[in-house]
Amino acid sequence: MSLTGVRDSQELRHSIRDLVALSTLPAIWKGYDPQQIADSVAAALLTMLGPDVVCVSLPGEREEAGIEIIRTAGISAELDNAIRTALQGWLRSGSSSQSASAVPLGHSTLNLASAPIGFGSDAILVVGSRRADFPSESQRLLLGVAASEATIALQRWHAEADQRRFVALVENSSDFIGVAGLDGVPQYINAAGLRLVGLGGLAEASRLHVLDFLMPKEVALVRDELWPRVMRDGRWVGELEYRHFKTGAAIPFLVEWFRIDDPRRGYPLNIATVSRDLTAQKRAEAELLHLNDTLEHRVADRTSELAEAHRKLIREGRDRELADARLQEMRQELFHAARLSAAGQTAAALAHELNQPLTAAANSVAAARRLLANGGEGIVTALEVMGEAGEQILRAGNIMRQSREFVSRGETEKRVERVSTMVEEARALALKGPGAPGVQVRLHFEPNAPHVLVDRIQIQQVLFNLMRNAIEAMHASRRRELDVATSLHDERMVEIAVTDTGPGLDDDVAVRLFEPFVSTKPNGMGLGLSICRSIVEAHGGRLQSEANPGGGMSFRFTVPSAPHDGDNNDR
Amino acid sequence: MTADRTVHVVDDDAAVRRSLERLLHSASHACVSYPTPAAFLDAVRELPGGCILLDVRMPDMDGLELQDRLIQLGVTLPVIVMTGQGDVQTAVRAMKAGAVDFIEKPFDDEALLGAIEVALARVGRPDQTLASTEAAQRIAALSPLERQVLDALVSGRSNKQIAFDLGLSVRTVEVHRARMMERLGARQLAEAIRLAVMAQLASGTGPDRLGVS
Repeated sequence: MSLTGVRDSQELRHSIRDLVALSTLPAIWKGYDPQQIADSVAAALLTMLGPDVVCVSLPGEREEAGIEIIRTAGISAELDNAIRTALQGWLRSGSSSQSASAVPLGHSTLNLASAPIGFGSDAILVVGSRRADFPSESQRLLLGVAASEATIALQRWHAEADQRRFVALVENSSDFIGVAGLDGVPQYINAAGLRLVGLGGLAEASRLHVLDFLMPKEVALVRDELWPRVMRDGRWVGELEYRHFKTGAAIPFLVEWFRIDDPRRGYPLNIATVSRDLTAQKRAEAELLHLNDTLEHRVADRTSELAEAHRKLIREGRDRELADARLQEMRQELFHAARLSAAGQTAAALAHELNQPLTAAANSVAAARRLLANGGEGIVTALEVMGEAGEQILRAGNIMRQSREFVSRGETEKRVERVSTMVEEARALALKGPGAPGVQVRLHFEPNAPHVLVDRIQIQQVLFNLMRNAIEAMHASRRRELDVATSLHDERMVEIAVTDTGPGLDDDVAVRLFEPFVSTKPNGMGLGLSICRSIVEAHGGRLQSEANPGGGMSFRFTVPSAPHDGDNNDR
Repeated sequence: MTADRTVHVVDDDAAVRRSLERLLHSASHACVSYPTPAAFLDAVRELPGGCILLDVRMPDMDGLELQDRLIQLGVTLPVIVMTGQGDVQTAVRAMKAGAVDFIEKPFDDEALLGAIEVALARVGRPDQTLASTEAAQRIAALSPLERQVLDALVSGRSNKQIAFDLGLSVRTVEVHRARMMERLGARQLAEAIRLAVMAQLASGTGPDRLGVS
């Protein structure tokens, strides 16, 4: 009785003590992970209930590994093993759904008491004892309380896991993350944020205002525009410069501000920001820009060097061209002179021939005039002298006639010549002169007129002359095309046409073109075409010019054709 | 002193010889003509005086060669050379070879007779010092460019060539040439060239027989 009473009161005291102990556990478990909670529960029940074994089984959720803790106390290792085996068998058997059970353990029985942890999960708290009176009512109660405590702790832990992840995320982020009240006073700034703006801690930040974080030039914009816009629209993204509190240096940020509303009632609670420090990026950009600039400069420098070199080359090229042109010009003059020298010699010889009778006539006339002036018998002599003067004038006339016959009837060596060969040789010579580069030459030979009967040298002079004229006429033309074409003029004559794409000729020049000493060239003697015409006419042909419909001039001349198979001396 | 005034004509052209005889006779000059240089050389030792009127252009031996031969023979009779028109180079060479004057065919009778008068006045006085000094003075009065133009003309260059050589336009050369003629008081190029050659002689260059080729 009294003993029972004592025992009851003692048990009650123990139970109360255990309940109080259990109620303190959640405070201890704060920050504990499930493993630690399970350990702690197991240890507490082992102490409070004095069982042989306590088991906490927490199946893993999702990818997590499950936790199974089996603790024994005061028993042999052999018994420990037996109990563990029995208990695990019991857990696997699915009997755990029963609140109380017993499993055979060698010669004795292990009585079990269990309580689920959580709601509808497989997690379970099991206590086992070989004592026959296990579990008592209070033991069962304590077990239930412990399971409940563990359930709450574990659920809290799971609930806090997301939060912890977010906190870890925010704390470990290198971005400035902060939350301010609607009054603009910072409530939270992550470590990176504090570090970036040079603040020692949150306490320091909470004495500031959001606007204090900005460079002075940004304040008005944020206060008057951006903050109201975030309040209104809920979000603003852009670049702003924050201020480093220690150095005062500007820190460029890509700023995202957003409004946090109460999820249920919808009114705004906070303004938060995630701001990225752009210093490195700006520096990189600046460096890139600088690099680009430098590169551009270097490219520009190099380009201008190249351009200078190019200009120099062009200058040198031009100088060389000028020198070349000068050389060609001189060569041309020499050639011209050489070509004319034959004609010149002829002309000089002719001049001398004419000079003699003219001198004689002039002398005679002068003598006669003197004789007449003196009067007397000198008059008779004067008559004779006048007769002599007349003879000499006739002699001069005869010389002229003979020379014309010399040119026209010709002592020239006419042979059967291949037209294409003559033209090609003349072209090669003409293209060696100045202004020829860039001139496109086209030759067309009439297959039915391959041979002509000509003095090759003379006709080549004509060809050369006409081609040079054409090339020189085109020196300033965009299109520079020289065509040389042969055709059958009639059955006796072959026509050779030299056509250019130059500017053509003025009418007044064209009319007098073949007269001697008419020239369109600044240094021209004006003899070329007149000599050409003489040569062609000496061959019984004609030299004519005409303007092309498409611009430029065409010079056509005819020369006698020769039999195809004619031998060289055949006329 | 008729012999002193004899004009010895050397020309291969019979009509020219004949007309010169006519002209000189009409001007009261004694005149002997020779159809070839050889014929003249045969007779030259016996010549008492007078002057020589020489055509430069003859077969076998031209006037310049004949001049050389005369110098070799010690003949000091003054020589007037007849040249073809514009044959400046030959004229210059003749002057350098000691001709007192040259005259271009066909010529004005006054010009011929004037030249002969000058030549005859010089007989027995082969030095040309007086005329040369005067020529040198006139030449010295030319501007550098006019002098260049004259020198080029003397060396037988054409206006066009001179323009090219001096980097001037042909028109500019013509202007300088006209001014040069004016300053020298020369109406014909031949006169200017004669002055230039005589001025050269005055400067001590002397007759240039190497110029004969």
